[in-house]
Amino acid sequence: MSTETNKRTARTLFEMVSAGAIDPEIFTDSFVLWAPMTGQEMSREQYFAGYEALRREFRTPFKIIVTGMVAEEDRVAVEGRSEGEFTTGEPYRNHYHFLLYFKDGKIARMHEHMDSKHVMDVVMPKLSVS
Amino acid sequence: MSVEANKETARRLISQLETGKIDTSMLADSFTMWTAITGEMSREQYLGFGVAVPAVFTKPLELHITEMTAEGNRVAVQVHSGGELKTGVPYRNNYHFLFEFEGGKIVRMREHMDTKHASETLAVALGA
Repeated sequence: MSTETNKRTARTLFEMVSAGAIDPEIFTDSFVLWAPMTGQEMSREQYFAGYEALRREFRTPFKIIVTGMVAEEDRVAVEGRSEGEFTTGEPYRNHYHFLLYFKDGKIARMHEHMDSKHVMDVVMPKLSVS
Repeated sequence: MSVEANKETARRLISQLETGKIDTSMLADSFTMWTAITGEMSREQYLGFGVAVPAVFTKPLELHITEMTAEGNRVAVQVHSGGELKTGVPYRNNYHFLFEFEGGKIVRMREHMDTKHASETLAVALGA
């Protein structure tokens, strides 16, 4: 697959996140998510469970707006920012620099670099009490 | 400038961050740098900050590049670091930098990193 095809797929992923419904077929079966904040790798199932838990805390699905992409070989680096409003009315504004690895047109691995302090400050208190 | 030349410049800058002795000729006059913690910094603000950071390490910070992705005038660099702060705690961060180049020089740098770890450890050592 070309870097341009991979970029289109990356854009589609964040459009689906913003719409509140991610097609699992965009990922390989052995997809792994790694986030420095937790230091742990998550499977596709764990990623979906985490996404659903987070989504429930929002009035409408939080949007991830892609602000830049850099692609080479099997990789796409994606900068973005999120916009959302929690059910409590608080805003969620994060910054991201994802690194996506592709295999046969699907996302095989995703590294989620983000403003983890913002997550700790505004998201974690909500997840721990729900 | 070629993508490969930009990658080489990005590698050099990352390695110079270990000591804070940055070859300023790599940075454009209008260079700006951003982190989620500090917001945008000018060239002068950033160079002042670069000097302050290594001073709070008892075991110098080592930076290891784990991936580079380059296209056009941009280079994304994933890095992890390790060192020990004068407060006695280890500092191990993960980064995904984005560098934008103009005429072979870095004009913009965005340092995406584990801000939770930085604010709990490095910011404390800096007295910030």
